[in-house]
Amino acid sequence: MLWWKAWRESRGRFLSAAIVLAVFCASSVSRARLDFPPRLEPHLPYTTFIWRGIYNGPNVIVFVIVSVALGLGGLMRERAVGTAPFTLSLPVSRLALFGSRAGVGMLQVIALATIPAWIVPWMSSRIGHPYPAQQAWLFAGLFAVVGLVWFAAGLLMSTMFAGEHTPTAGVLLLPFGHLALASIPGLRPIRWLNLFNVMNGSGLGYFDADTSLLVGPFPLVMIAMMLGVALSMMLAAAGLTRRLHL
Amino acid sequence: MLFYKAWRESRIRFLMCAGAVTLLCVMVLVRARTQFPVPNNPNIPYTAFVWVNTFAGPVIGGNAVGFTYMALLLGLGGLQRERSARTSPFTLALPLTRSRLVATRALVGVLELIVIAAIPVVLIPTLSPWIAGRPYPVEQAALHTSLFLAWGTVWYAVGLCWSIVLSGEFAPVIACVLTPIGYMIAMVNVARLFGGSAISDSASPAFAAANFMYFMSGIGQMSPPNSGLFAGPLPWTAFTSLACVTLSLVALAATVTARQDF
Repeated sequence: MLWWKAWRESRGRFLSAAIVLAVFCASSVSRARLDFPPRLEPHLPYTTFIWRGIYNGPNVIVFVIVSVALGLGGLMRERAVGTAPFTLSLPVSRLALFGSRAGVGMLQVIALATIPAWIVPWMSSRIGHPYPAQQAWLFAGLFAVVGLVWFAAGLLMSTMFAGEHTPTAGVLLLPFGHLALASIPGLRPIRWLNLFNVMNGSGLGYFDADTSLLVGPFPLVMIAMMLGVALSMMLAAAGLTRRLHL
Repeated sequence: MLFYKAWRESRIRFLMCAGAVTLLCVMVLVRARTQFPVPNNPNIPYTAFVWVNTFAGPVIGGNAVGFTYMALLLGLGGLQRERSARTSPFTLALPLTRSRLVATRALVGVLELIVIAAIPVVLIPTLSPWIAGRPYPVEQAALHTSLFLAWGTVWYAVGLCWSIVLSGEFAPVIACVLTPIGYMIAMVNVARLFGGSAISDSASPAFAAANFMYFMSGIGQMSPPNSGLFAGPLPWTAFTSLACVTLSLVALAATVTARQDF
């Protein structure tokens, strides 16, 4: 029941983002039918063409913003619209309320991250330029892990800010603020501090810049670290939810 | 009074955006101090360094996307938001037409957008000699800013329309997030139908102006190539067309608001 409630509250955000991301992926791959290989780079590998269009394209920032936005909502929002007393009168703990929202949101983020993995290899083979499915799923894994970090940040913001537009402004400005911070001269050489690099591998050891493929062992330590950060933010958000005075 | 109300409602968003742009400009100049000339490409001129980091972004048009989201964010608010916060009866009780409410909000939003876009024009030429030790021409900053503003006002009007058409707290936000990418998908496919490549081909000036990332970056009118210098006449036809689109969207927003049942 609580999971159904969380799904009803977030399904509009999830479904609209899923449709747009799926159409974007399909459109990018079908562009290869006419634009690949590009006139100016006749020897460009198809894997690089796909990486530039999908794993380093404008959909990445949209995925990140949507991941943060999926974390919004909850009791603070319900307080603003006056429905918090109804939810709090349910015979469940606040942690159960929070847990169901976090669970549904995490599944939604993972589902969004896998959209290119379903579409890219299938459509690529249809247009005569095969793309390895294993690579698509490895990228999906990286997108999902980093997406969970952004989702946890949104979840934490939703328990910290009560204003109507403050979380919204945070959703839109947080990724750009993160990019600005990661570009500080002292921090720029630490490539993994830029979460966008972790997602598409740019400049990191597990990414081959010539072919734009993920090579070598999967960065399990980095993934564990990201999941640890996401979990810490979720625990902090859960703690705050328990103490909220509504 | 209405202007003050519109300002009070949007000032936090405005200040956050202005702060982000200020931070970006200062950081570009700090980076220029330590990282210019670029070790991998020592022949790149300073104007190109500033252009890439301030007006183009990590991928061409990347910063244009950031400015687009700021414009869309400023467009949010209005009577639908007030309805969910249950303050719309007070606003509607004011002895004013709904069109005036929308027009005031649009005017304040556009002025805020102009101020945000003007930050690089003021900061970069002024601080560049102090921080980076190199001058940057103010007219170049103004030219690039005019390109940002031309499309920025359109995106502001789109945000205004979404905030009026969609109710609920997250629906307008998600619509704003997805609109630019939806527009890009549509434009690429339309351009393909007409045999052009909307992403990088300047053979079709109409599509070059319709590609907001390409247009705002100014890459199409750069001369010499890779100099970061905007050359040639300003695209007045595109400016006029975009201004007409903005006005049409604001008029649409006012019409829809006038007919809404609160």
